[in-house]
Amino acid sequence: MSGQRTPLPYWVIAPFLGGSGNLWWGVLAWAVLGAVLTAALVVSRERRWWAGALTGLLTGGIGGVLLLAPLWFVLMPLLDRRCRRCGALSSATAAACGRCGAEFTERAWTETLSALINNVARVVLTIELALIAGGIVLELSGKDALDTYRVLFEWGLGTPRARANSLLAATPLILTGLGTAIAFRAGIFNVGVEGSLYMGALAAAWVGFTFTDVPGLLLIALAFVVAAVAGGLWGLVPGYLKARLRVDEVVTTIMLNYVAIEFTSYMVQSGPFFVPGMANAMSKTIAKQAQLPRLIKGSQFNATFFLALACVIIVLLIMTRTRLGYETRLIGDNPLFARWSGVLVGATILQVMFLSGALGGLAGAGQVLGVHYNFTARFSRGFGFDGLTIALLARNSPVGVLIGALLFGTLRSGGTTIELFTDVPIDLVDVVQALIIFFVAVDLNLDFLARRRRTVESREPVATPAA
Amino acid sequence: MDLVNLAAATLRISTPLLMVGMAGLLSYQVGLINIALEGMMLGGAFAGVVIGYELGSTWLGVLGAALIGAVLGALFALAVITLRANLIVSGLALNFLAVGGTAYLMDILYDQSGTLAPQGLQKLPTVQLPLIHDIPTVGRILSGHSPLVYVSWVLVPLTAIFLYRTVVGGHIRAVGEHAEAARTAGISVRRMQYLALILGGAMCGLAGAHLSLGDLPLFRERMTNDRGFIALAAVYFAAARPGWTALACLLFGFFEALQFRLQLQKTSIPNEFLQMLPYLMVVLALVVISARKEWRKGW
Amino acid sequence: MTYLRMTGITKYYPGVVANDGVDFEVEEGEIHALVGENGAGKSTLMKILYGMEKADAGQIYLRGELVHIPNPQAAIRLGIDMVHQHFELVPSMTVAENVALGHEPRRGLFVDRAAMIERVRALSEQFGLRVDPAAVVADLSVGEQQRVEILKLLYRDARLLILDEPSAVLTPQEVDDLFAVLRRLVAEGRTAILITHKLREVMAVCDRATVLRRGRVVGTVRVSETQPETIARMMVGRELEVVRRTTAQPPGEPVLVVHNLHVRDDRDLPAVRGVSFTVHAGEIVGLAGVEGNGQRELVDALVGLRAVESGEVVLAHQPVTEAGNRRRRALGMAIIPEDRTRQGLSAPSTLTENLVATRYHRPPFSRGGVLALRPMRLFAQQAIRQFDIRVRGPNVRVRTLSGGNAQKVVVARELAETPRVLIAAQPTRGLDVGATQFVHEELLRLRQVGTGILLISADLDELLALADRLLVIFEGQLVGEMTPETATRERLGLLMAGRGVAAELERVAQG
Repeated sequence: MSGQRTPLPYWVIAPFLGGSGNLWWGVLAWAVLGAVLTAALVVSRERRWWAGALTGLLTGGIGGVLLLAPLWFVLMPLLDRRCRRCGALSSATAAACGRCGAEFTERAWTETLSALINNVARVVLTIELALIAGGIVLELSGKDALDTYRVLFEWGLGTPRARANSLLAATPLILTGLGTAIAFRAGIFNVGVEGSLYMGALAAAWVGFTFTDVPGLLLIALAFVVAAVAGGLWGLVPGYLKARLRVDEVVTTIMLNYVAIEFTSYMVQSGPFFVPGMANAMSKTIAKQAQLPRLIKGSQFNATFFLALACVIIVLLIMTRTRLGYETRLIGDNPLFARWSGVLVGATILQVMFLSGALGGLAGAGQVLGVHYNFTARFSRGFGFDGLTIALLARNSPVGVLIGALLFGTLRSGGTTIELFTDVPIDLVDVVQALIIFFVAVDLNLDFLARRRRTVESREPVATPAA
Repeated sequence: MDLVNLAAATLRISTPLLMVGMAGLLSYQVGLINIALEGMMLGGAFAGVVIGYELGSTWLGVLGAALIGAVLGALFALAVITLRANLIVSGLALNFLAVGGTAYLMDILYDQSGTLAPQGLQKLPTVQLPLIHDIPTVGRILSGHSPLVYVSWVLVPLTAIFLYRTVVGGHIRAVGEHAEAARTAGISVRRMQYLALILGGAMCGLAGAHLSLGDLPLFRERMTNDRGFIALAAVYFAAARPGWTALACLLFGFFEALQFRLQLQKTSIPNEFLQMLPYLMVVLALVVISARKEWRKGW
Repeated sequence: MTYLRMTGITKYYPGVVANDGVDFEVEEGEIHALVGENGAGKSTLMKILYGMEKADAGQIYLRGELVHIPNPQAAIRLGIDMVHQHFELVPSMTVAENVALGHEPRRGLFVDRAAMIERVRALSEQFGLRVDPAAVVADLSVGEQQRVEILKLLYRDARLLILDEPSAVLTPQEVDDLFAVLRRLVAEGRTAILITHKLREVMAVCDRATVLRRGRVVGTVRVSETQPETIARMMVGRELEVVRRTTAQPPGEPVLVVHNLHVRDDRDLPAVRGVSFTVHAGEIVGLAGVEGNGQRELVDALVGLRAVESGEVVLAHQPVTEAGNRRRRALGMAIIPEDRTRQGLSAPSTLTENLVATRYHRPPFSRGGVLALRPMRLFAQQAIRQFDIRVRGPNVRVRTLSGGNAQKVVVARELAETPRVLIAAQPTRGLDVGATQFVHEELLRLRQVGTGILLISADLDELLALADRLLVIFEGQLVGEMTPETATRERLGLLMAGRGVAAELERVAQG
């Protein structure tokens, strides 16, 4: 129903997220925020709690400006277009000249590029915003936000080893993020990548400790393939239910996650893979030649990361250059239309869900072959849910997923150290993550609103419902 | 196997499910799928212990749990209704926030991690039902529970009466089924949704209090153990009819009680499969419902 | 006495002026028709009056007093109430609960059910709106549901009733009942505004009529002193001419054969009940009928998106009864769906993506699962030129297009390769004159080159002008078949109303 008044929060929040309206406003808002906070900090020498809260804000505020300013003040003007008729400059994405109204011809690559920048900026900014909120939480509970973040980022990025650990932590998140994103793009709210991850991990471990005679590289490849298939098949269960019986996938995938966790636990706890005499619920160790070598001293960083990078490119190509990708986007954009155009929607959902699960399976295999060297019951620290957060944050763009996963990986790997070096509980990272998801939820919707406003406007003449 | 103990355990275990089930039912009836039940319950459980301990009264703890549950419900409503955030995503966010937030606060406030069992905090007293208590078997099953068990029994018919007999309840159902019809009739859709979510939040808080104060007065990280999802499943299972939802909650409670028993008895059925059961049943319920409803539907 | 006066009402939508300084007056105790073609601005004006839209300029006076109507609740308090085209009823609740919704008689916190049912029963008897207050709305027929809507207005004691296209879903018998109720209401001193584009209704029941065209008032006339042709002229702004297609041509081979088709609707009730017909190459078969008589389900079944209960569909000599949409398209079926924005287009996708949606899976647009972007772009550019789609380029998002342009995209996609069979459902609904003409010309062009066309339309003029043969559907059954030469509005009207079926069957039996 139109005629609704614009909700106030849209204007309040949108500039800071930068993803919803004009990004210039985002830059401006962050710059103002940064300036005000710097001034406030200088004025207040004493460290009262509110001054500390401001410090928390600053860590994000300045960072946001530093990150965004080059993007938008340097890069975007390069893309500005000059009107052929009157010579005025207009922004890169403008449809027509701002001064004389002459329409520009289409330049697809600027739109693609600005969408990409927009996406990257949004991922970074949302995390910034959550860090700010986290900083406020820290200060309110009497901790030193600046110091905590310093420790966090030092141990996330400070040394080669720290960076390797961050990449290591990012690896499964890239894969689960991609798996979730590909399903989301088809309009399937797949929360079940976590379950696929468990299935894939168990399958990889099984291959690893069963076919001990197979030579190294072959065994590793086999383990990854079997893991992908296992994860994919697990993804097919809710996929089939959705495609054939139209069972809502949100609830089924959440439930099936638990089933997968219980099932894999059973397998190593009392089932066929149970190892007598083992204290913990874990499988046999995989064959020596299947263990991915550690590439950096003092870190478990391994080649799975490069597999994940390859997957980013593969998913990108699938989404833009293949029939499946086209079908996925079409179904995500308008499933009814896809159906009326003869797209085999059910088959596409099955393929997407298989792919989504397969990526989850690879993530699980990576943990088994590269980190644990066995299957441990309930080993995942919410990799699937982190992937979900990242996919939401990146709006299903594979490159965005990569960036989001790297940031998250840094947070996670740095987060494990803050408890060692400060008296801040590690659960802070969970709180920050919840805040990120929340900001994403609001922002997703603001963007949706903005889009819908446009649609409503332009649709009026399209289908005026009977005068 | 001691059937009497099993029955009594079923009732005890079903209590939080019943309360959260009614909360989920309220939001289902107002047209919102409430993924955040879990988080509201966890928040309530934590608040129950903290407030009960700080104020030195278990009953105030229960009250505080309901209050915090309602506040979390209001927060969820704020996100979903006023800020129009995605329902599922913000529900997940609230669950994360509850898990991380309770653990964080536990560490900050009491320098504890994992479990919080404050000294001197009493659990809720058990209630000996007059008359019934003296009936041999029935008495042992029905009597001698924490008062919140009985609250949960009252909550079910209360919810039903509220939804189907009162003016406001009717408005909630109208909003859930056909928001536009309600709007044109002058009903504030937002107000009804806020109301349902806040009421539901309070019920979740009570359920949390039952977990943290009903048996042993302690809070454990993630102690709600996905009961929110199981209750949501019961709502789906029963197509949001109060009586059937309660029955489904009792059924899930029975399975859980049974599983505890079997665990002790070392049966041939692996424990994990029993754990899986409610989740699988939800999937099954959804399949049955969808298959029935959507079979012929065109596009 | 003037009851309602709206002056200088102006409402802009981006790129469109929906209302341009509209002055509109309604007298107390009259039935006032608000007429105009689709898109003339009738609904916008009424939405402003009902508080659903905010006017950019203009005032509203009620009994001479300036009023401000920010939302529907305010309108209801002022005694202005509206029956929407799509009913606003809660299906699982009873008639009485729906009627009283939001204004229930209370007893403390509880609903006073006895009082509620009693009041609704009294109202329904007083105004001859026969409906059982205890019945559940989901079980009611469309006509009964409309009575519930009107009861709702009366329950809230509306003085000014707005009815938005109330007859669109009714049989003529039900329309007559509705008009009888309306007359009773105004006899009581209430006032009614009837939004319609059907002249018959204006002539039958209204006292005065205000005609809108392109957002402006063309004029207000007293119905009793005016010929229907005059009003029609005011509506379209041109002499009403029947555009006859050029030549008669002998039909070719049968391309679409439907035999004894039975289809159920979403509620699992029979919607299409034993329909049989044949469409030949080079022929336009028109399907006439009041909306909601099974047309939608028939189309769904023909295009392969709804399960057939029994019967047969043969497309280009191939049995396709069980086949899906893609197989039917492969055999040469093209579809212009009724709901352009949801079924016909994907608004967030680009023009190219929309144009290749029915052919992306075959060469040259893709090979071995990989898309060929260049042929896609060339195809889009070709279509833009050939069908004169006014856009900046092939990568424009479709949601930015206007209505006429959007329908051109649908037509371009479906007709780019000459189909053997075209299913066109309401292809000109909501389009302006120019775009309508474009669609008509395309249909005639296809007919010329041998496509068999099934044209489903609610617009009798369109059917009479284009079709070689006319079929009439009523309650899921074909109740008549005729050529435009032998068809008269009266006969069509009777058949669409389900009356005269016996006579018609007799005629068929004799002939």
